[in-house]
Amino acid sequence: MSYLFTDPLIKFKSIMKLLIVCLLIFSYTTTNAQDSWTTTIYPDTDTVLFDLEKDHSSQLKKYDNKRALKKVYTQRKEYIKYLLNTKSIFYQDSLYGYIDFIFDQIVSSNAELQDLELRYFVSNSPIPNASSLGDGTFIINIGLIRKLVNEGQLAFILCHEISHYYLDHSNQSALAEYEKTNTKEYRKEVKTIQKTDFGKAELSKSFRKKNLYIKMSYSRQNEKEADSLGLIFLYKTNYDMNQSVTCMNLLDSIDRYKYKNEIGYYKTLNFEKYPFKKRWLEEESLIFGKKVEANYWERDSIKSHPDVKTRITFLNNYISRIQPNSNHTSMQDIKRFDRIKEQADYEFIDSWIFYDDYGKALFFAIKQLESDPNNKVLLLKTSYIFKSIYDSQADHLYSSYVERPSLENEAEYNYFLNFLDNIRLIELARISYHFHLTHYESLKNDEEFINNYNFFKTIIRN
Amino acid sequence: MNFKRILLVLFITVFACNTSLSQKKTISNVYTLIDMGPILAESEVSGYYMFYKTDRLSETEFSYELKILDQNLNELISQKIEGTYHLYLVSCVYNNETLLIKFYDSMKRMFTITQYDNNAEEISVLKESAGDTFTNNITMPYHLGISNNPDLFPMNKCGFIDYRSVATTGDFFKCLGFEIDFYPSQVDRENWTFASDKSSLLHNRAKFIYGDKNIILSSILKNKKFSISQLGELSLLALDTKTGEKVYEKIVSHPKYQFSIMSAIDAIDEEGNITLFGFYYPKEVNEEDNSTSLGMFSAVIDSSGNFSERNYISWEDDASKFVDINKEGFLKDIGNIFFHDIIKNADGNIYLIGEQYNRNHKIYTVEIVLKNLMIFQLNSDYEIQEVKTIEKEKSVIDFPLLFSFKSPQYLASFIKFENNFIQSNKDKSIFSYSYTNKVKIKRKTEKLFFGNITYTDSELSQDYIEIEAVTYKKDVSTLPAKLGNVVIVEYLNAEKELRMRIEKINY
Repeated sequence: MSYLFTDPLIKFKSIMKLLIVCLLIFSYTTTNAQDSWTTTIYPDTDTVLFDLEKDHSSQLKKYDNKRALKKVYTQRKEYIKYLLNTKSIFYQDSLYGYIDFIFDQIVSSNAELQDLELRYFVSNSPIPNASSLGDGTFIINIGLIRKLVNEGQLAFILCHEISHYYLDHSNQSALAEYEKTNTKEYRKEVKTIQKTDFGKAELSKSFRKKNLYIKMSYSRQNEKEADSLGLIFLYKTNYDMNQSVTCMNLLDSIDRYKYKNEIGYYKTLNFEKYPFKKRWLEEESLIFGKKVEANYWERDSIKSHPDVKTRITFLNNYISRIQPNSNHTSMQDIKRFDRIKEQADYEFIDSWIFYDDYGKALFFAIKQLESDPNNKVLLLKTSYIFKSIYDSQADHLYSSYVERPSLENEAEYNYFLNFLDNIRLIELARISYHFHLTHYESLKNDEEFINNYNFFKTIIRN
Repeated sequence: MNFKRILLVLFITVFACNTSLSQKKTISNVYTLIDMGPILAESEVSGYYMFYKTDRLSETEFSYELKILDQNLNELISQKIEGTYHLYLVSCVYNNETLLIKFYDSMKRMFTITQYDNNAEEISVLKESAGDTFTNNITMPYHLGISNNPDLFPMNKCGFIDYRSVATTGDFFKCLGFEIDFYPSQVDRENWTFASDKSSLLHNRAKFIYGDKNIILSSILKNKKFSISQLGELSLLALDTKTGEKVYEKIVSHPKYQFSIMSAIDAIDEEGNITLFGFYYPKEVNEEDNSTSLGMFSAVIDSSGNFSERNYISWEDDASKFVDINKEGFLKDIGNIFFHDIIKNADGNIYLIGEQYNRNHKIYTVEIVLKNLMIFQLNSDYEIQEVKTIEKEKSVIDFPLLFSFKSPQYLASFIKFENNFIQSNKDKSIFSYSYTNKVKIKRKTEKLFFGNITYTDSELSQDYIEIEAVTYKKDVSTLPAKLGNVVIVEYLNAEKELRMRIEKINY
């Protein structure tokens, strides 16, 4: 994203990132007994990367076309290195211990997995997703963990990702791509486009379109295969197979927000001495009431995954044909999972801050506050985000940190963005000041909170 | 694919994070940017249009792309268009009901006028020959580097009115008439064209003043010889919006003065009266000398085109009480005033927004240096209450030498000052003036500065952004945005990429 901007922004962002890390560590040590997970640096990264390289070398030996895969393996290693260096993946004992147990259950119940070198990392990404890199490495996002309802759902997700690796989907795709791009026909087609005098852009676009459609079609097939095999892996464990279906339902956009309480603008952001203004919620009119899809790309053809509903039907059909051998939704202490989820909710807000999206960070912080209005951790995060948005707007960098309303967004989030969009800088300072004033008594021992309080006080007095 | 890009693809694939926020827009494959600009709904920015060349299809045919974005830079329409090398987007205007886009192919001398409804459905496509239209009038803005034809106006939920200059005898410099085209927004209504008297030996020029579902009011200026002066024989022409029939045409005459009309202040009231605002000049003033007005005037005209009331605000007697100004409107030791706009707010106060300027003659151009902003506040009786001078950074606009003798006031009526713009909210309680200026910092590098002055609840605030360096690799400019924002546009020559972002203004 930074390529859009000139040096001052990059400098601003670097300073902000450093401040975020310092503040998050500081604020948790002073006000909250729990440590922030996402600021916990992954230990001994040199050994991790050394072991990874060793494993990569041994994996490469299995393939005839090493040339085609060598570059892919190097990219995977560099990618992990990049995530470790940027602190996008983190380590936390109780979380990793919890996932280790599920991993062990899956591997020990499936003999065919026992000789495989498998590893996973938890990333601070807020997106509810997990992925397989194709070398036995899996990445589980914190945004996924907070959304899951039980341990069984996480078990299915891991089974699905392990299946991708077991079926060698990633490497087979890379080999197929290598072979295709090295055929005479492919090279001839590229040369023809390069030599064309007229309509070159359109030809090149059609060529890319054709190849992407084929690739995405294979990808959707791979997902189906991973669902099937993942279900078999899960069947052999003691987890309830039906959790594969409940997990898929979570991915459906209908159940988008975990916290159902809508933001009460006239309650949460209404202050005795600074009442909420109706004007702040005025919605702007659009030229067109809908987004008009460009008809160039066929939506279904560029999806990497099959439709969620199709996947649910497939899983239900499969489950109905076999006799489930267990109905455990959890095999570990449920309270432990609840604690992990609670912490993951806080990490989720931090991760939006980490990925420079203060709009979402504030939206989710205030939404959580609606359910737990005196939660000190959430209040501190809100204080921090108010200050960050103020600073970015004052420096004319608002667009780098807060989205604007869009027809693509969920209505409730769009409404919130519209509110942020409508308030002027001085109004933001006044709202922030009165927010700090309201919670002054409960948080007056927190240095960062008091600093922010004094900052906004000075701004509105001037 | 280079390594950094592969890493980025992996990162996006795995993290699927919303790395590009929606208020940033990148458009690739922009081989030649033909035109881009804001789409206004009344005084507010509702979106943007852009039109660019993407491909060469044959020796003579080219592929173009038309994009329409909303005010938050979300893409609404993307349409591929084929045409000759000389295809221009002449206008893109919105009337709160339909969007009208007008193209002109100067090789085929054809106009294509397309309208889209509020569901972005194409509701009409009209193709018509340019005929006797003086086409330089259409393409000249491009040659001057200034986009969009200022002669097409939206009329709220009713239609669009288009003014064209027409060479009535085939020789533009000998005889010039005009045609006014009406394009209705409703498919069941007919287009019409009103043409000036083709047998007239005078140069006739028409300018839009006001339009609604009943009436379209234009000022008509007649001169004996070719002239681009804003003075001459002035008349008011009223046309019936439904039929295009003439309702009246009245000559504006006065024993001592002559007039130029700037704009209508309000909509027509229930009794059919409308208030016009402009400048008045001595009767004997040289047509070419536009900068020596005696002052400003307001006039109420009734439904028959008769003047029922006139107010004069003279530089010498009225304005000089508030600002050091001489009788011709020259600010002593400073220069002239260039008025951008007149705004009447909900409480009846009228604000005239002007800028001090100086003119410098260069070898090929004339340079207009715009300096401090001046706001004349008038009460509802058109009496000056206050004149505020707001210090701001200078901004410079270059014009071809052809215009060297013309006042910026006149130039503004002819072409738009795109980098200096005024915006207001619907009830006019907030209005702002924005300007940009490029300052050379190295041989091939310029720095772009954006300034804004906003008037909110009778308080003035200023904001200033140092945007980007403009180099031979990229061009940077600004576009008007929804109130309280500005759009910053970068065009990267090598990448053939257009990048836009919307940034908040602090006020």
